[in-house]
Amino acid sequence: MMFLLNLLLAFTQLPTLELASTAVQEAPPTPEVDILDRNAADLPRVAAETWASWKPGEEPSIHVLGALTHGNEAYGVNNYPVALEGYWDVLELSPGYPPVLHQMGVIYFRLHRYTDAIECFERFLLQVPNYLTATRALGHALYSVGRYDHARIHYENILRTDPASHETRRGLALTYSKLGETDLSILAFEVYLEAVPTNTEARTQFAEVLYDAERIEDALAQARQAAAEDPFAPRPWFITSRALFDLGQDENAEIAHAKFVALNEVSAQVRAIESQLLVQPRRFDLLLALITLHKDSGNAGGVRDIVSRLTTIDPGELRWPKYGHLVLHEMGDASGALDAARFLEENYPTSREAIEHLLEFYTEIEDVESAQRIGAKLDGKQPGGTPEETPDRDEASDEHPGG
Amino acid sequence: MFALTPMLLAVLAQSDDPIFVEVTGEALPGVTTTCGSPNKDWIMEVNGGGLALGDLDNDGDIDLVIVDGSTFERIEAGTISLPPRVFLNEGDGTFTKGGKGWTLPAGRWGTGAALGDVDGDGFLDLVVTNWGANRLYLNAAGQGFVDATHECGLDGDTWSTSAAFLDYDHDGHLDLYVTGYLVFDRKVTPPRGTNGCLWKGHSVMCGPEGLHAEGDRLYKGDGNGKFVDVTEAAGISAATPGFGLGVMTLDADADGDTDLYVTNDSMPNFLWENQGDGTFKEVAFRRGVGHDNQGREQAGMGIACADWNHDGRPDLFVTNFSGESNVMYRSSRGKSFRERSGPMGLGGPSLTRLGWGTGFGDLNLDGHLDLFVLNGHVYPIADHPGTDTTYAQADQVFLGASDRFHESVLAETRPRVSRAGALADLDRDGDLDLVALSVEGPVHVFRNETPKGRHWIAFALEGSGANTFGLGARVELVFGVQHRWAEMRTSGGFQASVPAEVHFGLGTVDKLDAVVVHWPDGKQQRIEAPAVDQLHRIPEDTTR
Repeated sequence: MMFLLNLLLAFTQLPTLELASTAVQEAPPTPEVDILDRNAADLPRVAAETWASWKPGEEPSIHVLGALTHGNEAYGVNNYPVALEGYWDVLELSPGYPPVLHQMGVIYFRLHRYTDAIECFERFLLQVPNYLTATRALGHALYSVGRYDHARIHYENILRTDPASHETRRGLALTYSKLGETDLSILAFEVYLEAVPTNTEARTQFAEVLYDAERIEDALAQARQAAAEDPFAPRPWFITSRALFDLGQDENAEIAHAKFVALNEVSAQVRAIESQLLVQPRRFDLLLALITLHKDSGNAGGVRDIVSRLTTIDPGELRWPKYGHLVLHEMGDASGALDAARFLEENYPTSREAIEHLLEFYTEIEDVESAQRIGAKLDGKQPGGTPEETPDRDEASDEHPGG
Repeated sequence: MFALTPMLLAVLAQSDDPIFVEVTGEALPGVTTTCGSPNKDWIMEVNGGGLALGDLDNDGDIDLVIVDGSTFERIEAGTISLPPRVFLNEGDGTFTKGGKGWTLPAGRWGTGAALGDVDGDGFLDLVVTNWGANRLYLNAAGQGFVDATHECGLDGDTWSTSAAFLDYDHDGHLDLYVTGYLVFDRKVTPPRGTNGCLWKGHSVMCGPEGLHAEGDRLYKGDGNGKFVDVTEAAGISAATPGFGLGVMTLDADADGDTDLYVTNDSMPNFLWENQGDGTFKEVAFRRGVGHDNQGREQAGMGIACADWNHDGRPDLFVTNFSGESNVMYRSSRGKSFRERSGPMGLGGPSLTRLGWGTGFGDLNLDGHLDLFVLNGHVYPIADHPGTDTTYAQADQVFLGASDRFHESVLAETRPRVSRAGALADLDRDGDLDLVALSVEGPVHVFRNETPKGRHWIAFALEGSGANTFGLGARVELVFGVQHRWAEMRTSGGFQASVPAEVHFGLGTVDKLDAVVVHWPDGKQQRIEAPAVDQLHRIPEDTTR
């Protein structure tokens, strides 16, 4: 279901949910009931289109700002249980408030609570009918609980209005395949991949559909392309191996199988940890375990991603980017290590610990110029050096691991 | 008797009326099972007991064995464990408890059962799997069972779940495959509440992940009630041990010998392909029956097996955990399979359910194979908000059509926490009835309420050698250009044993050209124009 999570990333922020607009409010008290022990069906109900005059982008009512801030801030650091607390309070104060219903739907989806997500998106659409992103999200949630016929209706409705909604087309392609509409599925995937050729996961799904349709050679080609694009994804190797067995190329099939088993083992461990992090997002031990998993499998991108998450949920804490830099350097990811070093240099310009760390690093990689620049800070020549003074600041801020 | 038109049959086939009506009160009143405490603090307490359906006294009807679990309190207090119980069919689908001869000594904690004639005397013997030593009960000429566990060779003190009889080496003597689940020791295995034993953020019983898989065993029978462990010699130990839950005998590659399919919890399933030389090779990945179609290992429980698409090779249906789709592996090119649960209408309806016992059978006698699926979660906390599922769940029936299934109502009953189950024509009216266990509590009997007027035919075999029920034989039905295939087996997937009979629904077909029996030794026996609406007993023709 990770692909669906990724899809939802595209519409997690509605216009009225700007963090900046509510950042000054106090957080509400902790609720007596564990928020995860509540069903979305228990949210206060309001008549359909009570919020008909609401427009995306309009400012929230003043009396919900505190709770909204609480929710938004937690959401910003992926702390979904706490975010739900805030949002639930908003809806107690302002029943049916559309952007919060939508945001809660997104969170429930990410928590794999699809029934609650459906409840939220359906309630949202009662207030704001035909809102496409919510309709699409509802389609994803329906798909996730196996209600393929219903998901299909929503996806097809969206595409009638917005034929360029690529993620909707991908959802529809998957839904068609579940409904046995193989030709329609293949067609939808072809259109999608023409528009979004870099989506490796979609290409893998396309390969699966082709394989099920007995187009073995075509499936193999797609799976190989997906494997080349994402060398740490197990599923392309699964299809590759199955296809090669079918084609009688047993030796290569066994190699692909071994590759699948190795990657799948790591992937399973990652999934298990990620499922715990959904409800315990500040379990730093688990995040560090993920870094170790990715490091041991040589997945520098995976390491960068986790370090990025660490710096997001625990901003200002030097040890995470420092540790990430160490790991990337140890893995031999030269560009990743350099990016991480620049991030440290920019964001911790006066930290002696960071400067000493970087000096050691630049010295080791024999980057004399950088070592001298950093050494000068240590010598007090540029004691308060700010990120603005760094020559390649823009490049660094775009590419640092916490970016 | 009036005959239904094909059109009316088609309409009835799409009906959402329940296939079954519960008749527990008259058929098997007051029979319950036990499996630990209701809190389910330990994985030992969640799988429920087992059952076996077969004609134990050779009186022509199907009798019932119920395998009971136990409780930790009972074991730790040294109290005698709960024994398996035999219920004899009165001929009309109602049962009475077997008399003194059928009273069985208990193992430690019963799990599953398998019926087969291990000593070749023409009567079904019984193996009961346990957490603890497995037990063999030899049938004393239909008068009762005799405990033959001592020195039978089924030794070991492990957690076995399901068992299946087969004759893998064609020596005429039944062999036995036993699935091992995991190494369980309450002094070592972490209890519920242990850090890390979480499901959707809730604290739940620990396992199977994080515990040690037990590994399966294969025993070679000598025809006299003795077995020798050939797990290693037959190549079964070559695979990394799985958390085995279900087992099915089948001829997956249609080469005439018996293969084995094993469902593993949270691990890829096994397909043991019989090499014809006394060894097996694990080929599940290669054949496409180890994972779902996205390469994900699942929590395999129950297994249904039948030739759904009439190509002469069996198809497989496997029940899985909530959040996972049940899977339908259809026979495909060569010896391989394709996972087709979604397009066949079986995937979506299973996503919020946790499936256990299952089986193919033409429940509405329309000529298409249907499926029953028994459901129920392992975690009582599934009733909490946000799980997308529940502890008690509705059981399901999927009615087969030409290329997909249509979900229908199994019976008008409340959701239950179901576990093992098996089909059999209990009242000998021609349609298949159902016995279903819950994780604990009453054993349920469901009578098939399919209207009269649709045709059927069933067969039992009488092998000439020690394999007296012809396990491993294939029965081919011929009418016009159509062929239907079924394999003779007693393995019922998850902790269940089914009658040694094959049953075909025929719809409006009231005349058959022939039935051909493909005996395990390769001989074929053809019988012309068998009459429909009968159970035929076919003795092996030794003159051919």
